[in-house]
Amino acid sequence: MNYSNTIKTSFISIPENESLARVICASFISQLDPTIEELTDVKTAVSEAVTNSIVHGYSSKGNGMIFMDCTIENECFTVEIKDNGKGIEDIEKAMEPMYTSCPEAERSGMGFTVMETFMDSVKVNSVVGVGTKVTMKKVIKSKLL
Amino acid sequence: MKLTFSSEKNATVMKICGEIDHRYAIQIRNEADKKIVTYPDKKFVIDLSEVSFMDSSGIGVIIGRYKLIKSFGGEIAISGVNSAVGKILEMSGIKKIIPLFDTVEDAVNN
Repeated sequence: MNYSNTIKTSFISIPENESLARVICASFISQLDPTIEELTDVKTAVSEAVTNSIVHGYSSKGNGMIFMDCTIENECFTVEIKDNGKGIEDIEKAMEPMYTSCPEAERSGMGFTVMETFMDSVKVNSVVGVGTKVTMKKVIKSKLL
Repeated sequence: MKLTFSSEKNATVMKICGEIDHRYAIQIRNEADKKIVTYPDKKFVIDLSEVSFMDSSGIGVIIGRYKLIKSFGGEIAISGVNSAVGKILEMSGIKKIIPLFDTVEDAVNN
């Protein structure tokens, strides 16, 4: 198989668009014939990254844009979620399990841990005052069977 | 997301239907806390059998209710763990602090 496909989307940073982002990714990867578990993994990881942009990147003000680009290269699905928000000062700290900068909002501090557990790779680039980009990859194994 | 409450023996059962994400977490938290504060002596059962999706916002909600109920000296249980929520519950470690049951009946009676 030698196949590639790409979509580029953008939406405003409001909680209503978390489910939209999940549905877009789920629809996009359906062409790879994923298992239910693979589909759930991708939806969960995407939900975490988009929520981070809304809650942390744009401080829940709903006034920013989130850019979500999805690519399929053969069996590999890549999603890049980018915001132009406040950025992350200490990425290593932010990615520690149970760490949250919003304990009062009952954030579990597990967003990045979920992304790392449910996807094959997670890369975070962030510049304070400029924004954050999360790139996640997952091989959809069911197609390989 | 739809939230319903029922009273079963000496327990309050909160059934969540649909998706649990950041958007709905605040609503669930506020509704649950009203019941917990009103009936602090009752066991609180969270029924997840009709949940179709849950991310770490749901983990935050469950751990938050666990802390509140424990502050009253009460009990909490989870029922109806399905494939949509099993993996994230497993990785969160919630199973170590909150008992999980197949059915609401089991959660209420045990």
